[in-house]
Amino acid sequence: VIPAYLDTLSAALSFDRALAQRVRQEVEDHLQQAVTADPSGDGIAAERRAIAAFGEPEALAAQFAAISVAEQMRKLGRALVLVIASVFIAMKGRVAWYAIAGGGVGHDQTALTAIIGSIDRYAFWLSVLIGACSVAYVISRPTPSPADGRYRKQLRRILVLCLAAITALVLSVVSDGALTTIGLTRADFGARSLVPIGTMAIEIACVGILVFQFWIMKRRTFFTAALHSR
Amino acid sequence: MEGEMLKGHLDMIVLAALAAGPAHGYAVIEEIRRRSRQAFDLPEGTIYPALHRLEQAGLLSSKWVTAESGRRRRVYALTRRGEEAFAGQRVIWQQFSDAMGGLLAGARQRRRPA
Repeated sequence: VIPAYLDTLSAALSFDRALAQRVRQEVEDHLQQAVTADPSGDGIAAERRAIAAFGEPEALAAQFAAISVAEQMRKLGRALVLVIASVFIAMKGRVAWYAIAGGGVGHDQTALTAIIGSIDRYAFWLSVLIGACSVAYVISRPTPSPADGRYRKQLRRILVLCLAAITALVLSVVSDGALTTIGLTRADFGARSLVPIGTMAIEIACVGILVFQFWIMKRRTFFTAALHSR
Repeated sequence: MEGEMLKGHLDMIVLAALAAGPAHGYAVIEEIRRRSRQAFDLPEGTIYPALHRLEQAGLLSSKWVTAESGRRRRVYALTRRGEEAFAGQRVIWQQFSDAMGGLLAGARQRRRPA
Protein backbone atom coordinates (compact mmCIF):
# COMPACT_ATOMS: atom_id res chain seq x y z
CA VAL A 1 0.00 0.00 0.00
CA ILE A 2 2.79 2.44 0.93
CA PRO A 3 4.73 2.06 -2.38
CA ALA A 4 1.55 2.82 -4.37
CA TYR A 5 0.95 5.93 -2.25
CA LEU A 6 4.57 7.05 -2.72
CA ASP A 7 4.33 6.45 -6.49
CA THR A 8 1.25 8.70 -6.71
CA LEU A 9 2.98 11.41 -4.68
CA SER A 10 6.21 11.20 -6.73
CA ALA A 11 4.29 11.24 -10.02
CA ALA A 12 2.45 14.39 -8.98
CA LEU A 13 5.80 16.06 -8.24
CA SER A 14 7.59 14.71 -11.33
CA PHE A 15 8.13 18.27 -12.66
CA ASP A 16 10.77 18.74 -9.90
CA ARG A 17 12.78 15.51 -9.67
CA ALA A 18 14.99 16.57 -6.75
CA LEU A 19 11.96 17.58 -4.69
CA ALA A 20 10.03 14.42 -5.67
CA GLN A 21 12.91 12.21 -4.56
CA ARG A 22 13.42 14.04 -1.26
CA VAL A 23 9.70 14.07 -0.44
CA ARG A 24 9.41 10.37 -1.30
CA GLN A 25 12.24 9.43 1.07
CA GLU A 26 10.92 11.60 3.87
CA VAL A 27 7.35 10.39 3.54
CA GLU A 28 8.42 6.76 3.23
CA ASP A 29 10.44 7.05 6.43
CA HIS A 30 7.48 8.70 8.19
CA LEU A 31 4.98 6.05 7.08
CA GLN A 32 7.32 3.20 8.03
CA GLN A 33 7.75 4.71 11.51
CA ALA A 34 3.97 5.08 11.84
CA VAL A 35 3.50 1.40 10.86
CA THR A 36 6.16 0.31 13.35
CA ALA A 37 4.48 2.34 16.11
CA ASP A 38 1.03 0.93 15.30
CA PRO A 39 -0.07 -1.28 18.20
CA SER A 40 -2.34 -3.56 16.12
CA GLY A 41 0.47 -5.56 14.53
CA ASP A 42 -1.64 -5.96 11.39
CA GLY A 43 0.75 -4.78 8.65
CA ILE A 44 -1.67 -3.86 5.86
CA ALA A 45 -4.24 -2.28 8.20
CA ALA A 46 -1.44 -0.31 9.89
CA GLU A 47 -0.19 0.92 6.50
CA ARG A 48 -3.71 2.03 5.57
CA ARG A 49 -4.10 3.87 8.87
CA ALA A 50 -0.72 5.56 8.44
CA ILE A 51 -1.68 6.73 4.95
CA ALA A 52 -5.11 7.94 6.08
CA ALA A 53 -3.49 9.97 8.87
CA PHE A 54 -0.98 11.41 6.42
CA GLY A 55 -3.47 12.85 3.93
CA GLU A 56 -4.32 12.80 0.22
CA PRO A 57 -1.19 12.61 -1.99
CA GLU A 58 -2.53 15.15 -4.49
CA ALA A 59 -3.32 17.71 -1.77
CA LEU A 60 0.13 17.23 -0.31
CA ALA A 61 1.77 17.47 -3.74
CA ALA A 62 -0.08 20.76 -4.36
CA GLN A 63 1.45 22.24 -1.19
CA PHE A 64 4.94 21.10 -2.16
CA ALA A 65 4.46 22.36 -5.72
CA ALA A 66 3.72 25.87 -4.43
CA ILE A 67 6.99 25.76 -2.44
CA SER A 68 8.84 24.58 -5.55
CA VAL A 69 7.41 27.52 -7.56
CA ALA A 70 8.42 30.00 -4.85
CA GLU A 71 11.96 28.60 -4.87
CA GLN A 72 12.18 28.79 -8.65
CA MET A 73 10.84 32.35 -8.55
CA ARG A 74 13.74 33.37 -6.33
CA LYS A 75 16.22 31.50 -8.56
CA LEU A 76 14.84 33.26 -11.64
CA GLY A 77 15.13 36.65 -9.90
CA ARG A 78 18.76 35.96 -8.97
CA ALA A 79 19.53 34.68 -12.49
CA LEU A 80 17.96 37.80 -14.01
CA VAL A 81 20.18 40.12 -11.95
CA LEU A 82 23.34 38.07 -12.54
CA VAL A 83 22.75 37.64 -16.28
CA ILE A 84 22.02 41.34 -16.88
CA ALA A 85 25.19 42.23 -14.93
CA SER A 86 27.25 39.64 -16.87
CA VAL A 87 25.96 40.84 -20.25
CA PHE A 88 26.78 44.41 -19.25
CA ILE A 89 30.34 43.45 -18.22
CA ALA A 90 30.84 41.43 -21.43
CA MET A 91 29.61 44.37 -23.56
CA LYS A 92 31.83 46.88 -21.78
CA GLY A 93 34.78 44.46 -21.94
CA ARG A 94 34.38 44.14 -25.71
CA VAL A 95 34.13 47.93 -26.18
CA ALA A 96 37.26 48.39 -24.03
CA TRP A 97 39.07 45.79 -26.15
CA TYR A 98 38.08 47.60 -29.36
CA ALA A 99 39.49 50.83 -27.85
CA ILE A 100 42.81 49.11 -27.12
CA ALA A 101 43.20 46.78 -30.09
CA GLY A 102 41.04 48.50 -32.67
CA GLY A 103 38.20 46.92 -34.64
CA GLY A 104 34.46 46.89 -34.14
CA VAL A 105 32.12 49.30 -35.90
CA GLY A 106 32.75 52.36 -33.71
CA HIS A 107 34.89 54.30 -36.20
CA ASP A 108 33.12 53.21 -39.33
CA GLN A 109 29.41 53.60 -38.66
CA THR A 110 26.82 53.15 -41.38
CA ALA A 111 23.09 53.83 -41.10
CA LEU A 112 22.50 50.12 -40.47
CA THR A 113 25.04 49.79 -37.65
CA ALA A 114 23.73 53.02 -36.08
CA ILE A 115 20.17 51.59 -36.03
CA ILE A 116 21.37 48.25 -34.63
CA GLY A 117 23.45 50.11 -32.03
CA SER A 118 20.40 52.10 -30.92
CA ILE A 119 18.26 48.95 -30.67
CA ASP A 120 21.04 47.32 -28.65
CA ARG A 121 21.27 50.22 -26.17
CA TYR A 122 17.55 50.80 -25.70
CA ALA A 123 16.75 47.08 -25.47
CA PHE A 124 19.46 46.57 -22.85
CA TRP A 125 18.37 49.47 -20.63
CA LEU A 126 14.74 48.40 -21.05
CA SER A 127 15.70 44.92 -19.80
CA VAL A 128 17.47 46.54 -16.81
CA LEU A 129 14.37 48.62 -16.02
CA ILE A 130 11.88 45.73 -16.33
CA GLY A 131 14.27 43.34 -14.57
CA ALA A 132 14.54 45.75 -11.63
CA CYS A 133 10.73 46.05 -11.54
CA SER A 134 10.39 42.22 -11.57
CA VAL A 135 12.84 41.76 -8.71
CA ALA A 136 11.28 44.63 -6.70
CA TYR A 137 7.84 43.07 -7.24
CA VAL A 138 9.02 39.64 -6.02
CA ILE A 139 10.78 41.10 -2.96
CA SER A 140 8.07 43.59 -1.96
CA ARG A 141 5.16 41.14 -1.97
CA PRO A 142 5.03 38.06 0.19
CA THR A 143 3.91 35.06 -1.82
CA PRO A 144 0.26 34.42 -0.93
CA SER A 145 -0.99 30.94 -0.18
CA PRO A 146 -1.90 28.95 -3.33
CA ALA A 147 -5.42 28.71 -1.91
CA ASP A 148 -5.61 32.53 -2.06
CA GLY A 149 -7.21 33.98 -5.22
CA ARG A 150 -4.34 36.50 -5.55
CA TYR A 151 -1.78 33.71 -5.96
CA ARG A 152 -2.32 33.04 -9.67
CA LYS A 153 -2.68 36.73 -10.49
CA GLN A 154 0.62 37.50 -8.76
CA LEU A 155 2.40 34.60 -10.46
CA ARG A 156 1.08 35.70 -13.88
CA ARG A 157 2.36 39.27 -13.30
CA ILE A 158 5.81 37.99 -12.32
CA LEU A 159 5.96 35.71 -15.37
CA VAL A 160 4.92 38.55 -17.72
CA LEU A 161 7.49 40.95 -16.21
CA CYS A 162 10.29 38.35 -16.42
CA LEU A 163 9.33 37.44 -20.00
CA ALA A 164 9.41 41.13 -21.01
CA ALA A 165 12.85 41.61 -19.40
CA ILE A 166 14.21 38.44 -21.05
CA THR A 167 12.80 39.41 -24.47
CA ALA A 168 14.46 42.85 -24.27
CA LEU A 169 17.75 41.25 -23.20
CA VAL A 170 17.60 38.70 -26.04
CA LEU A 171 17.01 41.57 -28.48
CA SER A 172 20.02 43.41 -27.04
CA VAL A 173 22.26 40.34 -27.31
CA VAL A 174 21.09 39.62 -30.89
CA SER A 175 21.91 43.25 -31.80
CA ASP A 176 25.27 42.87 -30.10
CA GLY A 177 25.87 39.71 -32.11
CA ALA A 178 24.99 41.49 -35.35
CA LEU A 179 27.35 44.40 -34.57
CA THR A 180 30.16 42.02 -33.54
CA THR A 181 29.71 39.99 -36.74
CA ILE A 182 29.80 43.15 -38.89
CA GLY A 183 32.93 44.31 -37.02
CA LEU A 184 34.64 40.94 -37.51
CA THR A 185 33.87 40.82 -41.25
CA ARG A 186 35.60 44.16 -41.65
CA ALA A 187 38.77 43.04 -39.85
CA ASP A 188 41.13 40.15 -40.31
CA PHE A 189 40.30 37.10 -38.26
CA GLY A 190 43.09 36.39 -35.84
CA ALA A 191 44.02 36.51 -32.21
CA ARG A 192 42.39 39.94 -31.95
CA SER A 193 39.00 38.38 -32.74
CA LEU A 194 39.12 36.08 -29.75
CA VAL A 195 37.94 38.69 -27.25
CA PRO A 196 34.85 39.80 -29.27
CA ILE A 197 33.95 36.16 -30.02
CA GLY A 198 34.55 35.12 -26.41
CA THR A 199 32.47 37.93 -24.91
CA MET A 200 29.66 37.21 -27.39
CA ALA A 201 29.76 33.53 -26.39
CA ILE A 202 29.46 34.59 -22.72
CA GLU A 203 26.46 36.80 -23.51
CA ILE A 204 24.71 34.02 -25.46
CA ALA A 205 25.41 31.44 -22.73
CA CYS A 206 24.09 33.80 -20.02
CA VAL A 207 20.89 34.48 -21.93
CA GLY A 208 20.53 30.74 -22.57
CA ILE A 209 20.73 30.06 -18.81
CA LEU A 210 18.10 32.74 -18.16
CA VAL A 211 15.72 31.35 -20.80
CA PHE A 212 16.17 27.87 -19.28
CA GLN A 213 15.37 29.16 -15.78
CA PHE A 214 12.27 30.88 -17.15
CA TRP A 215 11.18 27.65 -18.85
CA ILE A 216 11.53 25.75 -15.54
CA MET A 217 9.47 28.44 -13.81
CA LYS A 218 6.75 28.27 -16.47
CA ARG A 219 6.66 24.47 -16.26
CA ARG A 220 6.39 24.43 -12.45
CA THR A 221 3.70 27.10 -12.54
CA PHE A 222 1.71 25.04 -15.02
CA PHE A 223 1.91 21.84 -12.93
CA THR A 224 1.13 23.71 -9.71
CA ALA A 225 -1.96 25.27 -11.28
CA ALA A 226 -3.05 21.82 -12.50
CA LEU A 227 -2.61 20.33 -9.00
CA HIS A 228 -4.57 23.16 -7.37
CA SER A 229 -7.43 22.94 -9.84
CA ARG A 230 -8.03 19.24 -8.99
CA MET B 1 -8.87 22.15 18.10
CA GLU B 2 -10.16 23.65 14.81
CA GLY B 3 -8.00 22.58 11.85
CA GLU B 4 -8.08 26.01 10.18
CA MET B 5 -7.04 27.71 13.42
CA LEU B 6 -4.07 25.37 13.70
CA LYS B 7 -3.06 25.84 10.06
CA GLY B 8 -2.90 29.60 10.63
CA HIS B 9 -0.29 29.04 13.34
CA LEU B 10 1.44 26.03 11.82
CA ASP B 11 4.80 27.74 11.33
CA MET B 12 4.97 28.81 14.97
CA ILE B 13 3.87 25.35 16.13
CA VAL B 14 6.65 23.71 14.11
CA LEU B 15 9.26 26.22 15.33
CA ALA B 16 8.14 25.59 18.91
CA ALA B 17 8.47 21.82 18.47
CA LEU B 18 11.98 22.23 17.07
CA ALA B 19 13.02 24.70 19.78
CA ALA B 20 13.63 21.68 22.00
CA GLY B 21 16.27 20.38 19.58
CA PRO B 22 16.80 18.91 16.08
CA ALA B 23 14.23 16.33 15.00
CA HIS B 24 12.86 14.54 11.93
CA GLY B 25 9.30 15.02 10.68
CA TYR B 26 7.74 12.11 12.57
CA ALA B 27 9.37 13.21 15.84
CA VAL B 28 8.16 16.80 15.26
CA ILE B 29 4.57 15.55 15.00
CA GLU B 30 4.97 13.41 18.11
CA GLU B 31 6.44 16.38 19.99
CA ILE B 32 3.54 18.63 18.95
CA ARG B 33 1.01 16.03 20.13
CA ARG B 34 2.82 15.42 23.40
CA ARG B 35 3.36 19.05 24.34
CA SER B 36 -0.16 20.09 23.35
CA ARG B 37 -1.54 17.13 25.35
CA GLN B 38 -3.03 15.66 22.14
CA ALA B 39 -5.01 18.89 21.49
CA PHE B 40 -3.08 19.62 18.28
CA ASP B 41 -3.81 16.60 16.13
CA LEU B 42 -2.88 17.88 12.67
CA PRO B 43 -3.07 15.81 9.47
CA GLU B 44 0.48 14.45 9.55
CA GLY B 45 1.27 15.30 5.94
CA THR B 46 0.81 19.04 6.51
CA ILE B 47 3.96 19.20 8.65
CA TYR B 48 6.31 18.38 5.77
CA PRO B 49 5.41 21.28 3.43
CA ALA B 50 5.72 23.55 6.49
CA LEU B 51 9.20 22.16 7.24
CA HIS B 52 10.26 22.71 3.60
CA ARG B 53 8.79 26.23 3.56
CA LEU B 54 10.54 27.20 6.80
CA GLU B 55 13.81 25.80 5.50
CA GLN B 56 13.41 27.79 2.30
CA ALA B 57 12.82 30.92 4.41
CA GLY B 58 16.13 30.26 6.21
CA LEU B 59 14.48 29.55 9.57
CA LEU B 60 15.44 25.86 9.54
CA SER B 61 18.36 23.84 8.29
CA SER B 62 18.24 20.15 7.47
CA LYS B 63 20.49 17.21 6.73
CA TRP B 64 20.16 13.51 5.94
CA VAL B 65 21.16 11.05 8.64
CA THR B 66 21.00 7.26 8.62
CA ALA B 67 18.65 5.83 11.24
CA GLU B 68 19.28 2.62 13.17
CA SER B 69 16.84 0.91 10.82
CA GLY B 70 19.19 1.83 7.94
CA ARG B 71 16.65 4.22 6.40
CA ARG B 72 17.71 7.72 5.47
CA ARG B 73 16.03 10.36 7.60
CA ARG B 74 15.90 14.14 7.17
CA VAL B 75 16.62 15.93 10.43
CA TYR B 76 15.61 19.58 10.86
CA ALA B 77 17.04 22.16 13.25
CA LEU B 78 16.36 25.81 14.00
CA THR B 79 18.85 28.22 12.49
CA ARG B 80 19.86 31.39 14.30
CA ARG B 81 17.28 33.30 12.25
CA GLY B 82 14.73 30.65 13.18
CA GLU B 83 15.49 31.06 16.87
CA GLU B 84 15.09 34.83 16.57
CA ALA B 85 11.85 34.49 14.60
CA PHE B 86 10.47 32.06 17.17
CA ALA B 87 11.42 34.35 20.07
CA GLY B 88 9.67 37.25 18.32
CA GLN B 89 6.54 35.23 17.59
CA ARG B 90 6.49 33.96 21.16
CA VAL B 91 6.39 37.54 22.55
CA ILE B 92 3.62 38.55 20.13
CA TRP B 93 1.63 35.41 20.96
CA GLN B 94 2.03 36.00 24.72
CA GLN B 95 0.75 39.57 24.36
CA PHE B 96 -2.18 38.35 22.26
CA SER B 97 -2.94 35.54 24.71
CA ASP B 98 -2.86 37.91 27.73
CA ALA B 99 -5.10 40.42 25.95
CA MET B 100 -7.55 37.72 24.84
CA GLY B 101 -7.52 36.17 28.33
CA GLY B 102 -8.40 39.54 29.87
CA LEU B 103 -11.15 40.09 27.33
CA LEU B 104 -12.71 36.69 27.90
CA ALA B 105 -12.42 36.99 31.69
CA GLY B 106 -14.28 40.34 31.47
CA ALA B 107 -16.99 38.74 29.37
CA ARG B 108 -17.50 36.00 31.98
CA GLN B 109 -17.95 38.51 34.80
CA ARG B 110 -20.62 40.52 33.00
CA ARG B 111 -24.10 40.10 34.43
CA ARG B 112 -27.18 39.82 32.34
CA PRO B 113 -29.59 42.74 32.72
CA ALA B 114 -32.68 41.85 34.74
